[in-house]
Amino acid sequence: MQITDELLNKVAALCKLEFPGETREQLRRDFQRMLDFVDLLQEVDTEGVAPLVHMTESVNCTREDQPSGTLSREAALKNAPQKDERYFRVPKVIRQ
Amino acid sequence: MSKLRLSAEIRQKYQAVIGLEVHVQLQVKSKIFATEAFTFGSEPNEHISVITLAHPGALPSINGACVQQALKMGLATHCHIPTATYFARKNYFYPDLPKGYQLSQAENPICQNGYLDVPMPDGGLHRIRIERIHLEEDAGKSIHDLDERDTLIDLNRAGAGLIELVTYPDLRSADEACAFMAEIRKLVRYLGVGDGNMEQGNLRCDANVSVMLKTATEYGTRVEVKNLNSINYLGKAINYEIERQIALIENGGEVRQSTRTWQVSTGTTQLMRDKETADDYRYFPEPDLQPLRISREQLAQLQEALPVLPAALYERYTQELGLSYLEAMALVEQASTARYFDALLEQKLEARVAYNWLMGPVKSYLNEHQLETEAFPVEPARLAALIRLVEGGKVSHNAARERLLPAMMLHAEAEPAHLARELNVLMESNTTAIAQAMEALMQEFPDEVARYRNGRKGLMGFFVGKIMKAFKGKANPKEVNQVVKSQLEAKN
Repeated sequence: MQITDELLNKVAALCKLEFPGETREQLRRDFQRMLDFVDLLQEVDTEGVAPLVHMTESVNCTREDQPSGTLSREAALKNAPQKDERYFRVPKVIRQ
Repeated sequence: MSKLRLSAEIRQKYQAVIGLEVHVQLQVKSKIFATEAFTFGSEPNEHISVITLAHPGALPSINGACVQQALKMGLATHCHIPTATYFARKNYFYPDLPKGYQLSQAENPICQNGYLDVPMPDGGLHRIRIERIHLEEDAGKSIHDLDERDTLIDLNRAGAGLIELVTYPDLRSADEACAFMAEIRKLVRYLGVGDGNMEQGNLRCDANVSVMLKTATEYGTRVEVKNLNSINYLGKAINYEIERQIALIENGGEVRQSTRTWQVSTGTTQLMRDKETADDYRYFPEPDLQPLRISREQLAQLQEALPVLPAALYERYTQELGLSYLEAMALVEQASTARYFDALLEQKLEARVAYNWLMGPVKSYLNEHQLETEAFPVEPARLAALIRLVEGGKVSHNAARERLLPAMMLHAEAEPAHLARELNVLMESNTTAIAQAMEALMQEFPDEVARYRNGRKGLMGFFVGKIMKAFKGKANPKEVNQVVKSQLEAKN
């Protein structure tokens, strides 16, 4: 699979990232190498082998429905770049 | 443009095809993948944890109660439940989703391929197929209109447990969609899976709407309509969207796959995004959550513990008891009303009589005091005793309703018959006294008697009224009617 400009743009847009100047070419090369590696794996015949979705054998790791672990609002808001006493603040995300 | 005008003739050419996506907020104490409490009406950002905030290294865990709730819903809607199911990441960026992905399910969801039989106004049942029910977490709330410059984020709801139920496109009109939604709301309440409150967003619904010529064999392009926070809006939005799409096609246009939102203020739908800007969610299996294995024993136990469901009650009320669609629907609307009704039937009351009392005096009391049926101060057995007094001609319907029933609410211990005596509303069975009174009246009003005998049958009420008044309402109306009629009809 070839990493085209179009694909690179799409992935960048989905990640909400920008790749200016030289970093773009660097990223394209890294990306291509990763995909080439996966292409190599694709050559293995997996006919009749069930997909391995999880890396452990454990199942049903559920917990009791008991509330715990709440952070205080003050602590929760502490590291937010923008906030007031009660809310996280972000730039307005819809037009009105 | 709030109203589109389409002639009935044009409207008739098209068939609407509708599918629904329903979100139910699960009734549990803590969030689905984070451990903090989830409750309503809290101050903003009071129920949050490092998991909800997506702090580095914080790992989710699965709330077992949410799994049980999803399974209950799946069993009640006849779904296939696979022996194993797992979770997936749905990737998208939005400020009220700190992780940058929603924990959800993609392939192999917990409930698959079920159906719900929905009573329709014509008395029939429509089977609406359910494609899937999956577990997922809710997002937080973005508040856009509180501050001029910023959007404010409240993460109390982020991570709350949801099920999303997706139907096949089996619905054919707004009315059918509304009937389905009403049935789902009832079901989640009967099961205790959710509180079904649409206004608060605890039960939500998006509609996929398309239209096709009735002669066509393929469905048209569908449009998703969001922001439907009542059954009323669901119906209005679907009808608007059907007409908008037909008008578009009739004018040579083409429906494009898109998402629109319902605008309450204008009564229209408005474009939110079209397919070109549609999200690419890049689902993949969630590595931080282990799969669930669902044993058949666990399912059998849950099945065993399911309450009697509205569909079964509806069928019994209409098929066995002969109640109409509207009557049966009124009874099953709330589980507590149906339970009260069944308790009256256990007291050997006739269904019709029990229905009339429950939906008459009892319901009007409950409405007036804004109470649920279970809060009605008179238990079914005592109400049945009162009804038997009326049925047996011991107390008039009016006196029972206006005086005895209120007295019974105040005196929870007193026997209805005893109270009736104290209130002096017991009717006297006294055919002789009534007959004597009637004889006296016939002498006093010979003209009326003559006119009755010449065909003015309505005058019977004149005599009945006089006698009831003379007996201060304590004469048995049936008895009075009989005596009055037989004397008026008697050949002299």
